[in-house]
Amino acid sequence: MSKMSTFVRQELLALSRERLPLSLFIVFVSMISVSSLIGWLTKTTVSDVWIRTREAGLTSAANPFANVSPLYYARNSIIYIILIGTLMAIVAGVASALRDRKAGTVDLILSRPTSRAEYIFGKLVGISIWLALSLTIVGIIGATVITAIYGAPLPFPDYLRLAAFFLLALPLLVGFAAVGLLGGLLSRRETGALLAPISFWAFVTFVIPQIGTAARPIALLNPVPVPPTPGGPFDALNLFMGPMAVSEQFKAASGLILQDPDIAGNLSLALLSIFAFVLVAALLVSTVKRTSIRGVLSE
Amino acid sequence: MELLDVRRSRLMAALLGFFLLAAIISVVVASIDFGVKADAYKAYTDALAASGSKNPIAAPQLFPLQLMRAAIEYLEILGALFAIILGYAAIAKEKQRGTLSLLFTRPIGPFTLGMGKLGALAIVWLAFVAVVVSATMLTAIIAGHAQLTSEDIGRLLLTILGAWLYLLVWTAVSMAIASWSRQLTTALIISIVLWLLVVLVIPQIGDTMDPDNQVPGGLFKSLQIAKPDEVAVLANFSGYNSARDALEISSVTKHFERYAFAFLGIKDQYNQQPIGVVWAGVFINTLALWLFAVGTIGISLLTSKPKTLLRTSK
Amino acid sequence: MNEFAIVANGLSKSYKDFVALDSLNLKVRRGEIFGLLGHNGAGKTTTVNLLTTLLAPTAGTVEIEGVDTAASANEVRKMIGYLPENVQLYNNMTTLENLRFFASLSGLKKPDARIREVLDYLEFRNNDNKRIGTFSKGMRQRVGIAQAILHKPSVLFLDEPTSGLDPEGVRQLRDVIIRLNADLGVTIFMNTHLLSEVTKTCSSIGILKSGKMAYQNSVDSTIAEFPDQDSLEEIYLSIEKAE
Repeated sequence: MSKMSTFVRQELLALSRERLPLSLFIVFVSMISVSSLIGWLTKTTVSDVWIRTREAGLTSAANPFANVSPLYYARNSIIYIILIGTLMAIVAGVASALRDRKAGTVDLILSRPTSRAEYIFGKLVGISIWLALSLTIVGIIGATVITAIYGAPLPFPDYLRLAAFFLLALPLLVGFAAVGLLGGLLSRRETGALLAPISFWAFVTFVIPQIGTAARPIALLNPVPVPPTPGGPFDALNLFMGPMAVSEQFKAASGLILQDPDIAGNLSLALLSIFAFVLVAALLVSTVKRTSIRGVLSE
Repeated sequence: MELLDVRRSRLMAALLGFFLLAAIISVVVASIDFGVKADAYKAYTDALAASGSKNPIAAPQLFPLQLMRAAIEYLEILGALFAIILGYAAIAKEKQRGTLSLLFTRPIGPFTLGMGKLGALAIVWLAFVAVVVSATMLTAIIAGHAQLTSEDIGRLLLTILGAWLYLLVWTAVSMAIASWSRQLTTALIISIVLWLLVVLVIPQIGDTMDPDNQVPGGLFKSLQIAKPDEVAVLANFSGYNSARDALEISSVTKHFERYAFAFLGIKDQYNQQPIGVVWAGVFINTLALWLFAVGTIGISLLTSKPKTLLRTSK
Repeated sequence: MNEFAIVANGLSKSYKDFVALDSLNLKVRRGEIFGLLGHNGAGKTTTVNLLTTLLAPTAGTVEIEGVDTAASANEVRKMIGYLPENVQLYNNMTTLENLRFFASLSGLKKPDARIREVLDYLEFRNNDNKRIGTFSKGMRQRVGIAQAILHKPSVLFLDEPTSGLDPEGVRQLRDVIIRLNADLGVTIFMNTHLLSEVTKTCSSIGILKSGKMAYQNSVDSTIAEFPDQDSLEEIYLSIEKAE
């Protein structure tokens, strides 16, 4: 256990000094901060549109944004977690995997009395702590911005929901970090080490949901879910592919936690999907052999 | 030499394979989706006919080029990322191998290296886009039981041209950054952050700021407002829309999307319109694509001179 | 106590399409400085990787201080120190941070005192809090040796330790190797190409040729065995050329 804590400490120290994960973290924080403002701006505009149409006698429908919860402003954060958060996690995983190979320290580590499991899980736990810290910072900033927009402290349960939302993001990000770690440990080329996990992310985020719902890639970047095409093979496909579309499951679970009225679904199923993903990813990375860890890295 | 390197690269083969798979799946899914909607329409029409009514809504029509929408979006998102990474790698490998000084101590011109690498990757991307577009169109013909006209072929060729320019822009950008930057890690950071912002975040903000996207199925549809009235209402928000538009046109991705969607008839306004009409309609986007391409290629060549590359060699 | 610090019997390593090492028999006495010579691709690094438990042999056995590497790899790892060729270390971490990490992995608790002691021994104290990225090759090599001896190993493996060093760096490294052996009785196993250094440093040598041990003896006996050759370099080349 103490060897694992050595790897955890080393990982935290390294990640705090590596520029690529840090840069992505800065972009992540910035976008989460801005996302609430964009949400407020959009909500204000939509309400104004409704007022105009009502005044012109063009509609008798109710304002879709009347009495909207302040948690609505966290909606865009869901997409930035899926877009930027997961990429940040992948990059952290890849950087961790390549660090020792590039520094030529793999043999120094493996010729010491430490096990492969301590090495791999030490890295993964270290990355997870870094991600948890990142999400904590991002969550506090997000909650602060939403409170400022709302103009008053939110009801306490809303803060709990926000906390639950950012907490839910952690297993999603850890899962993708494990994928990045796996890609980095197995790859023989630096470029491939990054491209493979990113391709996996693209497949899970765009291709799998498309198979289940016929939703197009750009539509999947919207926090408002695209209604799946009813009928045909999509019902059966969605049943099978749906749980594997872990980004979509995260969207659904987040929407339910944040009480988004446009999102329906099964929270338990979504949570199960996310936790199954991180478990499978962690198990896969634990199978990487010493010979792969020691593999020579070319450009 | 670059072409030989790329040809032997399993990475390139894997990228192409992955992309083809995603694009073909998207066309198949779109074809099935259309089929489902057509069957639902027929069932509804039959039910109305049985009760003595007529279906006032026109039957859905299959426009084969529209089946390529998701494939174009994959080119926008993933194509750009792959173009960035390969452009970065083209320069990074020379710096890491230590071959720059071997190259520049030979009697070559100052732009030879840059032109060679850009030229090679331009050929690669042209082949890549041609294969992807051809494969997806073939899939549309088979899975969607579609037929192409000669004008459709013209539209496809124009789409290939636009996609090629788009990928060249990203390759040139990442090559320029990798050449200019003293540290390769910094170059990769900047390139990926740029991709995130330009390809994903800015268009996503633009989409989010579209009032019609804020309600599932569309805001105006939910308020039961017809298209002419929608346009009239939105005219009162020209400032907001201008800001949204300005944000979107700062992104080369949006220009490519508008260009491709127009020529493929994905945007209703241009569906089944003669190529000349479409050309006039998206002239600004076409011009923007060319300007981005020429500009970024120029910067890439300027930064590939020995003085810059050797200065930053690590 | 074993007479031999390192014993390899019938050690072999094969890959799919080639044999890197073929039935290597090797004995290194405790307290010796052993130099393994050989042409590029002879199998020197493979030999070191097998002895340091980084690779598993296809056949044969290795014992370090009487402990079987296959049966008790972690026990062996506690007894050995290793400096690979071209180790970069963590550029954005300081000397202290790098060494604390490796010390901790070697089982040292609160290693700072030991780290200072080792850096003093290597005459490298003023660079504790400087980042490795700013160091020259020679300086990195010192930190590399430091990490290898922090936990007081009884056997030290050095893979081409003089690679890339200037003459002064080579001389300083030679002094360190000799002092480690003389002061602490550390058995040292060294891959090298620099025959001049072998003459000044090693007590015995082995010559590897295409995966097989072509020759092994003490340096003095080797010189006596080849009276017609003027230098160790000529002896080495004659053995290399021989069938």
